[in-house]
Amino acid sequence: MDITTIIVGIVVLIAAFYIGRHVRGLFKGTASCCGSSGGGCSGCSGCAPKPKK
Amino acid sequence: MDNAATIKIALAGNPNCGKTTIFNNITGAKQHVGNYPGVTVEKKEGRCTYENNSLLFVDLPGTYSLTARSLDEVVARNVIINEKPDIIVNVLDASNLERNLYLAAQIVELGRPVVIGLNMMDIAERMGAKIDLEKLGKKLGATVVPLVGSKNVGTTELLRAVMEVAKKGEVIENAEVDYGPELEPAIRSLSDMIQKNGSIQYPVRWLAVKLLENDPDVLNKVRVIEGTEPIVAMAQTLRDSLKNKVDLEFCFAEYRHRFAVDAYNASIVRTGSNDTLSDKIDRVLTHRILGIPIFLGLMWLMFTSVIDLGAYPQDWLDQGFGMLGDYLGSVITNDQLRSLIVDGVIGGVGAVLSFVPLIIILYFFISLIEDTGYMARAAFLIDRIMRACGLHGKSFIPMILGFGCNVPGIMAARTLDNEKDRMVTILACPFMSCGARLPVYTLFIAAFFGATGYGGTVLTAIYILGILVSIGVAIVLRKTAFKGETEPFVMELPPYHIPTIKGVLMHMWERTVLYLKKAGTIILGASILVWFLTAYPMDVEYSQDFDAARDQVTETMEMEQAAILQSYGVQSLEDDAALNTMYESMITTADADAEAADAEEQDVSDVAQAQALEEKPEYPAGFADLQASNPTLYAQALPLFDAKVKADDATAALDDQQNSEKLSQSYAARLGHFVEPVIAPLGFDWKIGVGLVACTAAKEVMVSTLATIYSVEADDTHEASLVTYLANDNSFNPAVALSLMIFSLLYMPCVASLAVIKRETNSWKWMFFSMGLGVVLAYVFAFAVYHLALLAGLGA
Repeated sequence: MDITTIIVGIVVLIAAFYIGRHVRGLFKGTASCCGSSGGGCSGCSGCAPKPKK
Repeated sequence: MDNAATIKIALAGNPNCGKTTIFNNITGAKQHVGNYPGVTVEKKEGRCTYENNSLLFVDLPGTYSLTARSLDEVVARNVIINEKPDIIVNVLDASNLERNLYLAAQIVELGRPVVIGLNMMDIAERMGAKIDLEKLGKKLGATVVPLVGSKNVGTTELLRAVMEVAKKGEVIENAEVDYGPELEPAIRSLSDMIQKNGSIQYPVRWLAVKLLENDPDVLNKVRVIEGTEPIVAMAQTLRDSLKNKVDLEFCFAEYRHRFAVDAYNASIVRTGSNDTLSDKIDRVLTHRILGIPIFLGLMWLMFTSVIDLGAYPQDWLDQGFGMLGDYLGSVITNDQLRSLIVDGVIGGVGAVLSFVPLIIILYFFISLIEDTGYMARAAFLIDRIMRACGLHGKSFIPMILGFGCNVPGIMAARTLDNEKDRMVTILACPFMSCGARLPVYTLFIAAFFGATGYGGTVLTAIYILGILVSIGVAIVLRKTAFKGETEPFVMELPPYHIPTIKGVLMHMWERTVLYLKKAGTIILGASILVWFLTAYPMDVEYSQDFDAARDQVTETMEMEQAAILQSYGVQSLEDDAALNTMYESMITTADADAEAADAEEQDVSDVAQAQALEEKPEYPAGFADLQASNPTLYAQALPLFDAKVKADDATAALDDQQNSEKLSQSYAARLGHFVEPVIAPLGFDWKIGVGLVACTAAKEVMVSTLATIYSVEADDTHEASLVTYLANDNSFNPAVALSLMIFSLLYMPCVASLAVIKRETNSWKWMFFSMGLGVVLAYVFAFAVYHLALLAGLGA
């Protein structure tokens, strides 16, 4: 197995892991529909406001 | 993390009074705002620092009362009662003060320090109304701060007032609602008993009122506290005795209303005009007969603009990604890595990203419609139809929110008081066409309807079909699985606002960032997976030895050329320098012509252009000059050139066949061929089958999947646009495009929507029901549309 195949394999595994974790997060309410984590889907447009001085 | 010095402030008020705008002004957040009720359905928190004090603001869903009839009212009330914010900022709409004061009457009862934020002062002034802020403050027992949230006027004054109240600590100066001679003695008796008991943490007078009102939520909360049985029993006894004298529910509401009217009368110096500009505009836009045609006309204008204006920047981006793919394809030497980057990442994500301009234009129009207040009018117009069908008019607000994204639409069903109406709305909402489906429609419209000029009309028709199916599903569910009485609903039409440039730009920016975020995360992940399924396995069995076949083609060409040269009395081309020069010139001219065609015309934008390209002349235009320079040599070199072209074409055909055979044995093709028999009656081939499976992750993945499949199948020398691939693919035609657009509209919700349906209904059953309903309706409608389109001659 050459190095390219290993790199491609790792990339594909990361993509699969990310999709799986994202779907799980959606059902648990810890991922938002836009792909960012935290806050659940209702937090989409909010995206954790920074404190304003 | 909260620290001891953090001051917690709840923002409460009627729906659409501008709480979220004020919240955004204070905290710098970018929560979605809209000029219609029901945009916020969950509490949102944001922080700011003022004069070295840390302030935590909680934006609550808008409510007309604190009776906790619907889920959003429960959220608002629970925050105030259970979380005990240090201060409540009650935002009132100054242009609609009397009605807003009804909620204020209930908020002052809650026993927390209150600051009144009198918002929309500019509109009240435009209407000619004048309010005495000091008198209003005295009547409510609170500081009143005038605000214009849309222009960020009064924010600092509000923060100053909040700090002043905070410094006073727990000193409550709120006014009390006088419930009259019948109810007050009962309230006092019950209050005394609650106070003596001492185990309940809720505000005493408020609790006494709620127990006498028989509020089920409060009653349940009190019952679970030990030692409260005598309080519950006494409340029941008092209620029974009062029931004979007064209508309790009506009586409590009546006295609160009197309090609101009294505060209004005391503070209003001059009432505004009853016949405002908004009323005059509404006479046309919500006209019984003209209203719906105007709504449809505006929708058509919006979608035609999206399609026509967006086509140019979309084409530029498409070409840009094509060039990027070509460049990376020439730089990366390893076949696997090149295919991953060029076909998977650039091909898949690039195809989705090229639709960003259309998304920006769509949300420009949507934010205009929302911010002006026309969205509420659209809901009002549809409400008439819905009520005629026995549906709750309020259901349409969540459905309209679904235009942006189905997820907040489904969540907005919380504003419905009736559980059956809420469930029906949740299940009907996914049929509203969300922004994620727009790239799918525009892709197929560009490929098959772009030249007809009916692109905008097709897009409008799809969105209207979504609305009709949503209403139809709601009607059927309300008359079957969720049968029951509908509750009365009075719809509030907010005054028209002139949208601010900042507001519109912010809204467009938010949605664009979300789209980009989605493209860089879920769509990127899905594209890589689809690429893997499409490009693997690498070692496939071909029908023939393609390398040997290519060698055979080259050999045949060389033999043909040798025979031609022999007829001229020449052994090889090198022996005749002039002939060789002419032959090389022909090849150079043809290559230059092909490159120019690649750069300018190869990326066709529709089928008509593809046909025009096929009808181009046999030889490049530059050949005329070569012929003119030496007709004899030209005539001798031409058969040699023809033999080379024939061989090149044969080699290209072999390449295509090899790619096609490799693709047909890929994991993706196996999956696609597995579902193909089921979807074939809709005109779909296995590639669409793969797209339909993949797009459950997100609707845009249909576009990235098709882009990846076509990119892997094509040769690597030039990355054409997806529109080009589709327009040149014989398995696609306008009938298939229509069928697929309808299927994408009605097909099961994306996984994010399914997860929210599961969470909001707390049931796997309804989530699977939603999936099944989507698949069945999509199949039935797509089948009907496909066969009708074939009958109409759109199958070619």
